[in-house]
Amino acid sequence: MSVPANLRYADSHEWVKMEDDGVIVGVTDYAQSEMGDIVFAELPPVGAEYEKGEGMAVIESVKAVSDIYAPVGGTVIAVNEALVDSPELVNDDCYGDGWLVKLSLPEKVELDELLSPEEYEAQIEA
Amino acid sequence: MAGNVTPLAAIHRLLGARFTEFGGWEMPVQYTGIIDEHLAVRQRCGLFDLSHMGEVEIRGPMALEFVQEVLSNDVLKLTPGRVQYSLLCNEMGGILDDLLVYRHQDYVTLVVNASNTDKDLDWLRQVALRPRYQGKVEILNVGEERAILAVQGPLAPKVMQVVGLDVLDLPYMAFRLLGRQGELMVSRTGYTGEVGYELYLPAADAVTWWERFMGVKESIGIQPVGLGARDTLRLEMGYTLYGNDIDETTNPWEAGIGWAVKLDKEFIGREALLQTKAQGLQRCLVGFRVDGRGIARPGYPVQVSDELKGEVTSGCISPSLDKAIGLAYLDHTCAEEGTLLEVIVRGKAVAAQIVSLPFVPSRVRDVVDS
Repeated sequence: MSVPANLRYADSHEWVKMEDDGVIVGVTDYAQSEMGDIVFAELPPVGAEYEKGEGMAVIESVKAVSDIYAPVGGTVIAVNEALVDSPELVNDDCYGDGWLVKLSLPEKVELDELLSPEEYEAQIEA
Repeated sequence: MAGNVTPLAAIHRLLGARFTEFGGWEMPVQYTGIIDEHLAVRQRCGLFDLSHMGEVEIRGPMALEFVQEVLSNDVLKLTPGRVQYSLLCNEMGGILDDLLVYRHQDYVTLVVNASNTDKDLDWLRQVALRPRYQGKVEILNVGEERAILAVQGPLAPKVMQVVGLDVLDLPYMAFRLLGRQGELMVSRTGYTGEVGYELYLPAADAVTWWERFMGVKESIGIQPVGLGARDTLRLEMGYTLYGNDIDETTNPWEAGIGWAVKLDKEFIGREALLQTKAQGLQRCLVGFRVDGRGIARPGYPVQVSDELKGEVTSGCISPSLDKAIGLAYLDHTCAEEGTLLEVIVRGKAVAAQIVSLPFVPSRVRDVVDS
């Protein structure tokens, strides 16, 4: 399972990428692989606000429905519109074209609570 | 009893299968992916391990009378070598299980749902204690020493031929005993809607036969298929699944399986089912296609013109149609084909409509060239 070193992780299997104006959120390679063929993504509207741990999106595979939780609190500043027609991007490129949501810059303390790549790797191996 | 494994568990693991718990068994849910496996069965051929299903033999001089009393369909209309779909009901007419009956010359095999095997055996043994059956009926749980494979898809006949199984002349819902001692039972049956075969064999032979089938992977194209695709394949056919679309409270006519209930013969549950039938249909199991954005899942409410009229019992994305489909019980007043529905998906109404079943044309009766 791929766990890129430049990202931070939530124990609910989302990844977080720091950018200047906010954070990009997606699901990890482990999560997409566990879900199997992803056939539907329901993303939040731009402007919606979420607290850390709140359900903000839903991803569905052929058979199952999975909630995606906000790994940090923030306001949605962009969503990946490409997933509406091509939800399989989450399987094909979960750390790139299959990203889900961009949130406004979170509190530093919440970022610090996220898992390092090493910590996340240890979690999925357990 | 969770954690039963089939004789093929190690092979599934080597093939990279993902496992799921089903009816007390650890079963492969997918290998390459549900969509890929589903389409392989529709276009070529899939190989399934169904060893979790129960296999019960009814033997003894009164085996046939016994089966006729416990099952809703008319087993006397079944000639040896033929297979029949039937319901096992209790005295209240509650459906304990839906199953396949294989009639042999002097005994009967019942193939039952994994999750119901123990319940079915308890009930069958209880009925067999009745005085008239004393010493004249034997209930044998043979499932534990047997394995079950299915070979399904348009290339299935070719696969059977290449591995040396002489079954191409079998019509749909017929079977034959093969092997040196007749230890291999092969039927032209399945749960996919394709031409296909199911093989019932000694557990000790399971690996040999699995590898024999996988041996034609390069020459013909066969691939392992897990329970995930088995479910999407059956749903495209509108086949009901016990536990989803049927349970002990189901009215068989409402579920569309009333044809398997023969009220003109005596059987356990008949009195209650006569009353059920006389009361008429309150609701109907229908197939629907989702036209809006969303996927209907079991338990989701269904509305007609903003009024609650039913509930989804099975739902998924159809890999063949690339649309969400499902089965739902709907109030009988709005169960007509073409009726516009709203499936409530996480609080939002999503447009759907009732369509005729099956969702995809059935090919189970296609003629096979031998």
